[in-house]
Amino acid sequence: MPTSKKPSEAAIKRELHTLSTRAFELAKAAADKAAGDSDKAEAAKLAAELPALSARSKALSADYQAEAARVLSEARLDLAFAKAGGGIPSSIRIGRYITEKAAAE
Amino acid sequence: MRESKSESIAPAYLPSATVSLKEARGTGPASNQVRAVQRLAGNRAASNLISRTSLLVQRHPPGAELPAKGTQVEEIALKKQMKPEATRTKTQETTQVGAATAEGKAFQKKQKLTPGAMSLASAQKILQGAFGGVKDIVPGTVEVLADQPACAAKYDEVCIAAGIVRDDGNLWAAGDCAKDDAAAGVLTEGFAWQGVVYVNGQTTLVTATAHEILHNNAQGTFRDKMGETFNEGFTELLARKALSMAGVTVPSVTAYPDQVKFTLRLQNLVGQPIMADAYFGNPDTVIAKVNELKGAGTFDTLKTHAEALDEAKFNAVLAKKKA
Repeated sequence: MPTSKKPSEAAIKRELHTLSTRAFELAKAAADKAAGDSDKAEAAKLAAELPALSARSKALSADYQAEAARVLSEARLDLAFAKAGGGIPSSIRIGRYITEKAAAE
Repeated sequence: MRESKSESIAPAYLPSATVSLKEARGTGPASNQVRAVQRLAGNRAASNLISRTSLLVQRHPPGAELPAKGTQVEEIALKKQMKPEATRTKTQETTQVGAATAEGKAFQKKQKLTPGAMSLASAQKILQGAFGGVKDIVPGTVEVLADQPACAAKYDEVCIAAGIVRDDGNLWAAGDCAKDDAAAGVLTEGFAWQGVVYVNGQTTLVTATAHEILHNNAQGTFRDKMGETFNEGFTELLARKALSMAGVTVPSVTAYPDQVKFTLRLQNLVGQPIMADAYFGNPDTVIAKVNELKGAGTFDTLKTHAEALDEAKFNAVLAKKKA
């Protein structure tokens, strides 16, 4: 009987971090008005991965659930922002990025 | 100073330091550190720090060069240049710390009845009590919403008001945020729009409001220079510290657990006062300190590993001795 190997906690956390980091980069590119069609397509592809990753994250320890939820929520907003090419309400971190950038200019 | 053979008086969370005659007069860098401990941890901690040393005066032969004079002069100049000015008098400090403790007690009492996020005003008072000596804390534009559904509804509200068009070409409508959340298997807990930060007021994280206010008070280049990991980690550490000082019970489960872990290790290396000065004043102080202690370019390497949350590589760099 085939056995399905469950991903380890460390592997899920890595996946979350990788997706979150990439989502943030894509959103920053959108905020900078530097995002191209390929970036928007990548954002859409990553957004489609969110439901499965969200389901996998339920296997994380109870102590890490709130953090996983925060990371996923932030990533969803970043990816929506990237797909839209900016101009919509964003994650808090992108909001701060925009504010800091405006202050520096 | 670090090359001196003299006894170190610094506690574990401060960089090691020796006390020279200049320090005994209260004008040298170690005195600054004692004052920093006093400011951040209180008079008792500062007294303990002083009483734990048997060496108050370190002498070197008259006319001789100070050991590591170049490094010392550089360090003093850097601190003079970068240390933020104290922003309150002793009377103001007493008043603000008192107000913070009263606010902390009131919050603690309220939490027992209806748990939820701290109000903006309470968090601002608590942060002012803790860090008012280095930075006058401003709340900034943070709106605490009643709960998660209110958060999603507010997202819809601002989208509708701005006439935002969805991917499918339709105008944004009430309920769209919750619909998008459900499709992705997540819940929107906070967002930003046109300079305003909106957060879910029914969060289980007691530091939520203080955390967001702290971001509004960080030095403008802190995030850019320190990276996301240290930025979030140190913001959360400061929020936890301020709440604890005000008597609020802070649970062991923290927001940004990975970021806090990496930042604590950095803080153990450079000391909390330098981190706080960097957060509110100039991040270059931390970068310079790390490079001074571990060698040129080390901060950049640590930052890279911290951004990747690569603990093994991060710890290996920290464990290395300066070449």
